[in-house]
Amino acid sequence: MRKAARAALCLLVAALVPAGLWATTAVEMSTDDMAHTASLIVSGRVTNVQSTWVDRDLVTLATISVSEVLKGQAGSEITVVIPGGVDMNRPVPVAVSVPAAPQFTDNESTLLFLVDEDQVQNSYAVVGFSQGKFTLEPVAADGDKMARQNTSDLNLQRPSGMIVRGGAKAVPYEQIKKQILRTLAPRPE
Amino acid sequence: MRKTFAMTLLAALAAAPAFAGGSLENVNVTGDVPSPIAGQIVGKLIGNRWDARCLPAPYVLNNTQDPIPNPLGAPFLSLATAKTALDSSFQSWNQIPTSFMESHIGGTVSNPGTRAFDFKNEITFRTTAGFTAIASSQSTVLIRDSNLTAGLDIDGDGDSDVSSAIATCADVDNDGDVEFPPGLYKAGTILENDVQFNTKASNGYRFTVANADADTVTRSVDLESVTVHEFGHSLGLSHVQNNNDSATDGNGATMFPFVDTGDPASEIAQRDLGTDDIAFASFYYPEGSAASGVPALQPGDVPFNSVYGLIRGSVTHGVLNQPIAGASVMAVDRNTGREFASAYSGTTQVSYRPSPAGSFLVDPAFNIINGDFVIPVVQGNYDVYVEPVDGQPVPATSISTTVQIGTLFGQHNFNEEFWNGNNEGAIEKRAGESKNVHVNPGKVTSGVNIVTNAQTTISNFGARDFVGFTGSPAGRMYAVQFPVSQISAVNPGGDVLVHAGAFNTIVSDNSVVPVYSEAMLTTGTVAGTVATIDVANPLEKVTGFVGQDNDFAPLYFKNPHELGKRVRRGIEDGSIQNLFLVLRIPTTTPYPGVSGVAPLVGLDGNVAVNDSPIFGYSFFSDDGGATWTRTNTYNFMFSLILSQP
Repeated sequence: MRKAARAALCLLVAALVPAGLWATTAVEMSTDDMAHTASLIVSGRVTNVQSTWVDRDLVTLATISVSEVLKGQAGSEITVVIPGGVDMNRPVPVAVSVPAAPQFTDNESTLLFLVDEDQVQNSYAVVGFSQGKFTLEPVAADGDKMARQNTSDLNLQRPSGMIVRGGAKAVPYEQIKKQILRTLAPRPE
Repeated sequence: MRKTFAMTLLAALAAAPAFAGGSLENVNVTGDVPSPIAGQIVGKLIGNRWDARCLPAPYVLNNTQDPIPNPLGAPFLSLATAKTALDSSFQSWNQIPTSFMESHIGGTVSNPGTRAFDFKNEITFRTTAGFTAIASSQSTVLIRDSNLTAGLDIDGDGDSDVSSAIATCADVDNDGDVEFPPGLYKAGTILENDVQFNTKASNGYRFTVANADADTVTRSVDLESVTVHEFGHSLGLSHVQNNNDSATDGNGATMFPFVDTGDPASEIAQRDLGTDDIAFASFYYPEGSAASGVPALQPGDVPFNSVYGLIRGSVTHGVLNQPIAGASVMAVDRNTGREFASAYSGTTQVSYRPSPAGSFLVDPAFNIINGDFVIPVVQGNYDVYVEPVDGQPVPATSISTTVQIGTLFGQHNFNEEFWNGNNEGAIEKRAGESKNVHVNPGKVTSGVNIVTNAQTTISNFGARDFVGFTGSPAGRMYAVQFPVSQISAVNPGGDVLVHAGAFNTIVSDNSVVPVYSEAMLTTGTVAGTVATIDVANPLEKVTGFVGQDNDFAPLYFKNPHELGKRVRRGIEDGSIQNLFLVLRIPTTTPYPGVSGVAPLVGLDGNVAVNDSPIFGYSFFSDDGGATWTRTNTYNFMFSLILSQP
C-alpha cells in the first residue's frame, strides 16, 4: 500500500531546496500583465533539472522541450535559469536559497511566461518568479489540461454537483491560452 | 485539555518543534539517513539562522552605481542617501530589545557584476536581466552539520574561509571577505546573505526614500519599506499571511509578501515592524539565551523570557485525520482585536536525492512528522484561529517547503476556525466559538490543539477570474442564492448545522480595511430571472462587517444548531425555498484609500472558457434590495458552510 502511494505521490517538491523559498518582494501579476511582460510564452515538458555554477553564482538550469509557442520565437528546446541551487560536492555541501524562484520537476508539463536572461547564453527566466510558471495537468479522459499556478483556489466538483473549495488555482489550459492570445491580439487604434 | 506549565521558557524552546514558525527553510541531510526511496536520504526541513559567532553580520554596499539608476527617468537618489535608508532598515531589526540579531553596513565593495557566493554580504542595485522582482534576499546555507577547519576554502576562490586566528567572524586577512572561526556549525547556518534591488530599465523600479515621494506609480516604491522586509528574510524570517492587522488598521506585518506600490500609505507603513515580525525575530534570536557572546545580555537588552511566553499546540485535519503541514495559526489579542503573531504548523521532512538535487514526497506519514506549532506572544489573553494556506492571500510557494508539503497532500482545504478548548473536534457545534488562551512571560501555554472541522462548503463558483466592481454605486448589495436542494443534500432527511457564510472580499488599497455596510443570511425566492430577497427579516445579520483583504471572510452564525433546525423546518413547510448570502458595500462615499474604490468581491467568470458553469445564482441590487438583477456573466464568490450535527 505504501509502495503504491509512493508511486502516485512521488512528486518532486522542487529542485526546491535550491529554490523553495520566497523572500522576494514582488508585485502580484495578472495573466494579462505577464503576457505583456513576457518576451516568450511557451508550453512544453521539463526534460532535465540540474544545478550548476555560473561564475560564482549557483543556479539551476531547467531544459524545456517546447511543444507550443504562444508569444515570441523559440526552437525545439530552451533553457530556463532558476536562481539558486545545491552543491553537494563542495568541501561542505551548501544550498543557495533564492526566494520566490519557480520549481521545476523532471517530466513536468508546464506553461511558462519568460523573459530573456543574460546570465547564461540563450536562456530565459520566469516572469514574476514563480508567478509565471504553471504546471499543466491532464484531468479528463479527453486529455484536456488544467494549468495550475498555486496562487488561488482549486475547486472540486462532487457527484452531487456541489463545488467545494480546494487547494491551488487551476484553470483550463485552453482558457488561459485564449486569454493570452486575446490579450496579445492587435487592437484597433 | 489546556495546561499551563510553569517551566522556564528556554527549556521550552529546546523542546518546541524546531521550526514551526514563519521561517525560511532548507534541508538538513546530516547523517545521510536512508529514506524510503532507494538511493535517497532523509532531508529534515529546518530554518535558516545566523550563527552567533558571526553576529553582528557585516554587510558591504556595492558602490559601482552612484546615483542609483532610475528606470523611469533621470537618477536622483545618491548612494549615500540610499545608505541612510538601508541603515535605518537594519536598525529596525537591531533595535528590538528582546532579539540579539544585529547587522550593519560596514563598508563598500566595488563589484561591477551581480551578487556571488564570495563570503561578502553584499547589498547591490545590480540584478541579472531575468530578475523581475523588486528585490530579493538570498542566503547560502549549510545543509549538513559541518566541522569547519582552519584553511578550508568553501567558496572555491583559492582563499581560506576559515581561520584559527579568530573567535568570531571577521575579515582577518583584510582581503574584503569574511572568514569564519573554526568549529562545528549546524545545518541551516547562513554562510552568506546578499540583498539585491532591481533598477533595470527593462523591468526595474524607481526607489524613493522621502515620504512625499511615495506615490501611486506602480513601478516606484519606497526603498526602506522594501529593505526592512528583505532584511527580515536575511535573518531567516519567511512570509506571513497577515495583511490586515485589525478592524481599524488595514496594514499588516512587514513580512507579508506583497507590497502595494500603488498605495503610498501602505508602503510607508511597511517600514515599521509589526508585532509578528518582532516576536519571531526575538524567538529565533532570543536575548539572554546564553551566558556569553552576542546572545548574552548587554546594556539595554531585555531578556526574551521576561517579555514573551509561548502558545504551543498542534493542528490535525479533521477529515483526513492527519497532522497538517503548514496551517497558519494566528494569535489575536483579545483586548485590542489585533492580530499579534502567527506560526505555521508542522515538522516535516523530504526524501532527498543528492544528485541531481531534488526533494520528493513519499506519503504523509513519512513527510509530516507532526502538526505542532509555537507562537511567541507577550503577556495577555488571546484568541487562536487556524486558516489554510490556499492561495489567498498568499500562495504556499511563497512561504516554505513545509507549507507546500501540506498543500501537495491536499490538506489545505478546510475552513478557518477558532480553537475552542474542550469543544474542539472535527464535529463542532460552533466553529466561531473561541476560548481564551492566557499567556504569561517566561511560561508556556500548551495544549492548544486544533482539529479542523469536517464541514460541507457549498461554493457555487470556480476559480477567481476578476475582482469587482470598481464602479459600484454606494450601497450596492451582492447576493448569492443557495437552493434548498443543496442544503438538504448535506444530510438528507436529517438536521444540519448552518455554521457560517464566507465572503471572498478584497480591497484596492492595502492600507485600507475592507469594511462592508452589512452582511446577512436570509431567505428568498427566484422566479425566472427575478429574485425576491427578504433583506428586512434576515436569519442572521451583522452591520459593519469586516472582510479580509484577498481572502474568504467568515460570518459565523450565533447558533448553528438552532439555525439549522429553523432552516430545516422552513424547507419542510415550504416557507424557505432558498437561502441567500448578502453583502452590502458602504452606503456613503468617498470610500477610504488613495484609490477611492469600494470594497470588492471575488468574481468567477467573464472569460472565454470558464472552469465552472455560470450558475445564475448571483444577483445584485442598487436600490437597497427592493429589486435584484441576476448576472449571467459572473458567479459571486460567497460560500455557505454547513455540517451534519
